[in-house]
Amino acid sequence: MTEDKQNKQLLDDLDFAATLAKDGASTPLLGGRIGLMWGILLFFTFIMQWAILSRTLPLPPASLAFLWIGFATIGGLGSMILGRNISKIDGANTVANRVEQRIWMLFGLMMFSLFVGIVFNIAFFGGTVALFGFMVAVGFAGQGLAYGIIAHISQMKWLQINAYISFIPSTICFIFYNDILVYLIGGFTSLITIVLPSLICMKIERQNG
Amino acid sequence: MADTSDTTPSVENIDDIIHGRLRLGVMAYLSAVNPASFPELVRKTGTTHGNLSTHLSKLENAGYIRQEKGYSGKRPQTLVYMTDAGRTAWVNYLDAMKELLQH
Repeated sequence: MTEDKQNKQLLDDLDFAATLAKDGASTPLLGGRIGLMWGILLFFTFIMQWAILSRTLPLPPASLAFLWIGFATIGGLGSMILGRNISKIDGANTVANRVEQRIWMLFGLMMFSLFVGIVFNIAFFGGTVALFGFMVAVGFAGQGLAYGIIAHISQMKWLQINAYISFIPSTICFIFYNDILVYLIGGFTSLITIVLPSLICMKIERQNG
Repeated sequence: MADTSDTTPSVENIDDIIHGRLRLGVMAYLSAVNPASFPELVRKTGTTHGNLSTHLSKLENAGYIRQEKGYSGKRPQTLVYMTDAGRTAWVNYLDAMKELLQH
């Protein structure tokens, strides 16, 4: 093969490789549908919690336990099913997508560890149910942190803004953590800081085919 | 006495294990998506199962990739990982190419 032909072949092969590398690297974040499910679930659960505690809904406070068990069950199963579908999508294992999967898993673990600690505190050390309001505030702060890291890895500026916005409800929820209003605030801010960015992620995913 | 040795980089200095068109494509894709499933690599490279399998074996024998057979639900699935040695070889390959193209 002449040197000219070799060089042409080489450039052609490199172009092929570059196209594949770019194709892989440009895979959008795929967790939008999971975020959407959790956002909607949180919205309804927080609103229900507020409605029960404020007696807007004539249900006994004990029904809150069923509400949160339902939340955890639907969320857990939904994440498992949606996560399995996502793993079949080409590019599901880009660094950004792996970080996204991992960070939300750890976020869930963080919230669960807080929940267990609060339950034990209430049961044995005289804690009050107001501590669950504290969990809402911590949740939004953790969410801001998670979104911030994902935005940094995936270089998505709009998601970075959403990360900063998530810290605002965290402060507000902390102010009202011992008031049932915290659940109403939590519900509506879930729509802004979870449902909305999840819908945008899904739109970007659709645009990328 | 003048130094007559030729230090100009040439195509022959390039890692042949990586530098097949298909193997190059696989390494490039795995550098961005790691691991990738076997069907994903077939779709992305536009090759056949048999051809991809042959080239993956070459990369695996060189220690550049690792294939893990498992299940996705009830369906068998092969995941292809770029190894640390593969990443080093990939970076060296890119450096060699850069050097070659600069001359």
